[in-house]
Amino acid sequence: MTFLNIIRIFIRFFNYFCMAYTLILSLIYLIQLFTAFKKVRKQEKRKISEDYMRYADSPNLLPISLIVPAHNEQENIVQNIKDLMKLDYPQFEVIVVNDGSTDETQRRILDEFKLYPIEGAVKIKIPTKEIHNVYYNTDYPNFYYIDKENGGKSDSLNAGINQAQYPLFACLDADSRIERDALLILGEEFLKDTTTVVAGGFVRIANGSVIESGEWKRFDIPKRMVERFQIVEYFRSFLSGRLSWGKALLIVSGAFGVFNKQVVIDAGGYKTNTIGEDMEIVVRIHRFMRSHKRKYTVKFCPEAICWTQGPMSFTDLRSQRRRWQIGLFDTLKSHFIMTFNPRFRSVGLFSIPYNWFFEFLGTIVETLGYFIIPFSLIMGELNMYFFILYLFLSVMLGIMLSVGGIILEQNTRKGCMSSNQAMKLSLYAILENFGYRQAITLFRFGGIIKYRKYKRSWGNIKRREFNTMAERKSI
Amino acid sequence: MAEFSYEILAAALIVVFLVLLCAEYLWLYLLSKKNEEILIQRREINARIHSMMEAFLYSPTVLSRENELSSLIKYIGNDYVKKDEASVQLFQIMHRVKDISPQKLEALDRLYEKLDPIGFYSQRLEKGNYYEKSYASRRLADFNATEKIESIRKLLDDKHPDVVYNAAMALSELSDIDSVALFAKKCESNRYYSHRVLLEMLQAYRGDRAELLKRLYKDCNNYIKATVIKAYTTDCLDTITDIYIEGLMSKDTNLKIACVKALAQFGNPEYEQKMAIALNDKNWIVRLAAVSGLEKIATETALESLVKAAQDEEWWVRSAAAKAIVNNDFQLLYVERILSGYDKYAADSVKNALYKQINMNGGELR
Repeated sequence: MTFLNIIRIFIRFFNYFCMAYTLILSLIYLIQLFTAFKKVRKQEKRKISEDYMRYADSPNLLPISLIVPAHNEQENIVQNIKDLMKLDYPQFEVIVVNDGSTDETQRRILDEFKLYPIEGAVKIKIPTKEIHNVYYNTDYPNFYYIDKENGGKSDSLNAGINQAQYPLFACLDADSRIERDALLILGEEFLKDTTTVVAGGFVRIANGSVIESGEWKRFDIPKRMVERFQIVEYFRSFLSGRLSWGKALLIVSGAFGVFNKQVVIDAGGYKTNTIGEDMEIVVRIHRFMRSHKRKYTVKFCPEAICWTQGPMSFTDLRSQRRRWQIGLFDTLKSHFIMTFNPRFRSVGLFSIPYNWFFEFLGTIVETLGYFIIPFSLIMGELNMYFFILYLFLSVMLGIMLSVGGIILEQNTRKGCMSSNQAMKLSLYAILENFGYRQAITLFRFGGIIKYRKYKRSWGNIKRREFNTMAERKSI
Repeated sequence: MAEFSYEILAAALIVVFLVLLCAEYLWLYLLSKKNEEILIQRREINARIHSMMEAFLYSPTVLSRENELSSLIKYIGNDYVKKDEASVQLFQIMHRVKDISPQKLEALDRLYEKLDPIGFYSQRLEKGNYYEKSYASRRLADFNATEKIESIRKLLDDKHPDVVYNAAMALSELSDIDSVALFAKKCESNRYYSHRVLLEMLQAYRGDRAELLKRLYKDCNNYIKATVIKAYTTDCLDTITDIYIEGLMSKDTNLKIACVKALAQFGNPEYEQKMAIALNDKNWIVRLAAVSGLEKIATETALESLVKAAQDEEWWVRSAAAKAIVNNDFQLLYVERILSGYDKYAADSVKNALYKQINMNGGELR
């Protein structure tokens, strides 16, 4: 058997494998989309009787500590804190953890809120890097500011958990804004169902939207193509992807999630040597709760909205996606024991294997496909007609899934977009198949290749301030 | 032949996918158009009903008022959305307006009579799906529709937990003691509804709370007893203090804690003895509750008991006692006694309480 023959056999095998793989993946995506549609319809009906604003003053909602880790967040941090203080929730505190920022973050916060250092005993439930000072001002009784040595986002969250006095905590990104009623929606999940340990909100791309004081005012399609693609992508992955997993959900976005503090402490807090801490903590909670045979529920509430700024350039997008892929691999590797383990039920039997085979290996298969399939065409191992048909159907299915995501969005947040905007965005569901998706796959593949190099590096993403009505009018 | 079938199949697949995609695009277009229209329509309805109601309420003459009312009723017609919106706005006006003139009160009565929100929501209660039934029951409770209690009661047997919860909340707001007691009794064994949901329901009760507490205390298990006492702790129901005192003897820790906390709220020197006994309880949460009671009582002997509590083995109790002494108009004598005493831990607690007060107040002692 010559070398060329071996190559030919490999290519043939790879082509068959790719076909079967795509078919299975497409089927899973379609099932996810249908499940999400069903859930959205159910939630839409439920909204009729869910008048969560009735709880706005209820003393029975569990109080929440909002933990905001901040590292070089001078642009948004002050406004974000002010917005957080205006949230509709009966009892909450805001804990901003400065993770050794080297910019103006600390000075701006101290000046704006006229904070002074206080000393108090804090029970160290989870070890963290050294805390320099805790700041406070009686004029803002529910605001604490912690200045600590740089230790990463997880370490900051752990420091916030140690300082938190309430039974629930929410992890928030300093560059994100949550809508005023979002906490109420998630808080209600803990009130009504005592088994709830984690409730995640829906993270939406703020690029283009006008947001003032935590309130969404208007949606405009952003100018940059990269931002438009991300909006379509977020609808598909958040609404279709996350809604369908139900209790077996593995990721609650680091930008906005509410957790039962004691459960997180019992599970050991956030893992500090990973950059995918949001996924890792949820997987660890699943593992801990199942191992200890405790009843629990992980929830995803698309009505609780958090606005975040998506990367505005391909360089930043590459850095973000590389980080996500490293985080995914790191988490799956750390909890490998859960894979196909019936002890962890749906999480071990479905969620984790899905993430291994389709989210992690999928990146490798797709990237290899970009090189091997054209090669097999050149070598005559692949029928040209078949290839075109296969490509056409894959692209069509991709478009259908993305348009499905926009339809889901239209069902969850009625009237947020005009019909023109929805149709315009749907065009990007077509365009994303010609360059954007391939670029994302390559970025993710880069994450796997450079896993060792970047596994502790967050990278810097350029942010700007959120749009306000006044700014928009002046434009 | 094989090649021919393959081409047909390929063409068929392409056509099917194209048709599906076109259908999806059409769906998106129609849905977004519909949503856009609904949004505009809702905003318009909201604004129009608001302005028509204002025009009606502020009409200068009886005749103009009648004209405004008839045009409002005509505008609403039998439209579900408009009727619901008008009812919600009417409810808001009824709750917003405090000092109301007799003319406006009369006008509101007329509006209420013509809109008939109870009739409207009763229909939804009978004919709607289970979410609409839930919503209607809550709205009927908002309008204090006591005549609909029977219909709402039927929902308590519904298999859908959301409907049962909303019905229970509505019945509690409508002061239906039998239904509230029945629901609480059901919750003895069924833990689907959390402790906090139960508290929410009990706190919504607008009737005689002491009566409800007595009834639940008599009929239910310790879990419900503790919950109901906790729900009405801040109410200081002085007609049922016997129950609280009885609860202090209970072997159930939760019930005992609830009773100590309830008695503590009174701040009555009459219960000082009970608090002092609770201060010796083996459970530190009971002792902690007793500290807050003694803080409120604040007699000389109560402060003596607090000094003793500052030497407690549990940090929380020590800390609370020290804070109570420091907060109690800054009782220097007791502070000095603890600081110069032999108990290092008690002294530390007081130092900490003093420091916290200075620290949190930007360097000043309150």
